[in-house]
Amino acid sequence: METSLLISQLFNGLNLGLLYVLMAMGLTIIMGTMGVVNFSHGILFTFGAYITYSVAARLGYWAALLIAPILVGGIGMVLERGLVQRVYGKDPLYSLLLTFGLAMSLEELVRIGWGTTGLPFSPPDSLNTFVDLKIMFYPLYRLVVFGFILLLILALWFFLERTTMGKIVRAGIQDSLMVGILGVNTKALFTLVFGLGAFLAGLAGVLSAPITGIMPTMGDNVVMPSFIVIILGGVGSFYGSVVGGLLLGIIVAMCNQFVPAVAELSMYLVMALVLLLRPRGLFGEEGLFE
Amino acid sequence: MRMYSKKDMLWIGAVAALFAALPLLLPRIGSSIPVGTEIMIWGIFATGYNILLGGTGILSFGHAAFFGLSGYATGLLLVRTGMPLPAVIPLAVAASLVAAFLIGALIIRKRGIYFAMLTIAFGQMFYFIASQWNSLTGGLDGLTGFKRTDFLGLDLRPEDRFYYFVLGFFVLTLLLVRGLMNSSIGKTLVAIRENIDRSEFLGIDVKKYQHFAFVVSGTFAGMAGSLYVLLLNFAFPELFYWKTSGDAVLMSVIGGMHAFFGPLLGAGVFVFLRDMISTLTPHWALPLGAVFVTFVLFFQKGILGFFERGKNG
Repeated sequence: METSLLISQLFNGLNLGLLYVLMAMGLTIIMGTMGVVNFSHGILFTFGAYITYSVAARLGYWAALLIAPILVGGIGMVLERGLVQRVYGKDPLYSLLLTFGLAMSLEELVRIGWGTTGLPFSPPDSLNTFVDLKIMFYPLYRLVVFGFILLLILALWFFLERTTMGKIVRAGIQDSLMVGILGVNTKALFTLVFGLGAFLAGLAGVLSAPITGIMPTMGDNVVMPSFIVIILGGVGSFYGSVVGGLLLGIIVAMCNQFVPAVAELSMYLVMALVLLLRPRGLFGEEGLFE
Repeated sequence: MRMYSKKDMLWIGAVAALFAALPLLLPRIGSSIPVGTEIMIWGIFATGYNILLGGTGILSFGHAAFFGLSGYATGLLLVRTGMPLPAVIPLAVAASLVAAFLIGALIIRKRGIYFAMLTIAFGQMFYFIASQWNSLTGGLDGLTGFKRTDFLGLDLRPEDRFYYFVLGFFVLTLLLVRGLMNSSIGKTLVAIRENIDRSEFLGIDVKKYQHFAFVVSGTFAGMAGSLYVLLLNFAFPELFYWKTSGDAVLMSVIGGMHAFFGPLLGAGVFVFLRDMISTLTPHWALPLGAVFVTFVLFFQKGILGFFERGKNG
């Protein structure tokens, strides 16, 4: 077996995994704080990619990279304030169905706005080359995405672990009722958390648009792996999302190369295996959703 | 204790009579007989599913797995073995039963949204198997090459014949589910829904009952899946898709998951609305999604729950 092939697949896996991490982190903080399984997460990802397409056509990719996630974060906050907020504290069934119906409508909106067929999209010219890594040539764009997401995860870690706001978010994941009793404005907190999750989903959409192309159903392809990442890592766990996401990305990429028939299936098999051996996921804490 | 009250029999009889007369009505209101067949099939799915959701208080978002499994089993048995339908349908439904038993055993200890996520993931597993195992399932194009023929000499090819064939399963489902929910097992399931901890203190083996409800609802999903594939003479991966599971959940909630006929009404409204809107616009998903959002926000007890507040089904 060629080493370079193995290593390039490993890189692809890490790339894919980091995108899963971005998606899963948003999902998991929303789930942990509000108890909402956000089915609209995939469509927010799709919005990120389509907004990128439209903005990049006028202002270039770099402007899109800045504008699209913020816009998607804003859309998320509007959805939260207008709709999702009304079902907090009710059976999780309702938030799940609400976001399910929402995703259904929004996906159709994408089809109406941008058409039903996929759109091609390439990386910005300055990054649309290959880098000589001695053992292989690797797309520069993917390397940049790689570094960018790593930095972002570090920033997120810093936010959650080292800032007061982040501490409040983490406390909210532990027990949002208690956080409210201690005088924090949980209504604003929830909007912020939902907006942050939407921002991350939008960003993941922007970054993956040049890799995968853009199509109305693209969100579906990442939202399921993200659910699995959460199951693997444990609900509400930052480290769980990171480790679970990277692990899943590598497994999928390796299977894609060597046993393509089971590439998609592999993640479900891993999930079943982890569930049998560690029912709470790799980093899951006792008590959450049991 | 009697299995059915007079009121039960009256209602089920009335619904059966209504559906028996429906084929006369449907073509006159611009609809067609297969639409009625589809409503009954989704009615079987949703009514059975609601043993779990409304009855036991467990949310599964993966029952499409059992719907699709039985559907594909039906198609495959017809294509590969040429077995007659009286053998094919029970075998296909049994496949769903076994799958529901195994998956249930693996995940039934989880609660709430964690459980729901696991059911989605397992459902998707089947979706990928169906869409990628080309040589067996026909992959993304779906499984074709079979047609429903006869059932013990009864020719099922005409749409109206098949309609009445499905009507038999439909009435059977209503009777079985109503009987189950009236029995001591059904009462135990409702007790678990209302208060898990108290049920445990009373010595009820909660997980065993929850697993039972999961398997039974999965089996009815299987019955619906087999009939659906026979209706279309076609099996395709979307049968397994998580959105299909979501449809079943929505039907239960729209109709009213705490009323016995709620899921059936929801199935009727769902199929009818989808058919109606899709003739008006190709973008039917936009208004349909908005209708669901409206229901979740303003009519959480569903149509029947809205009209008969406080009563239990």
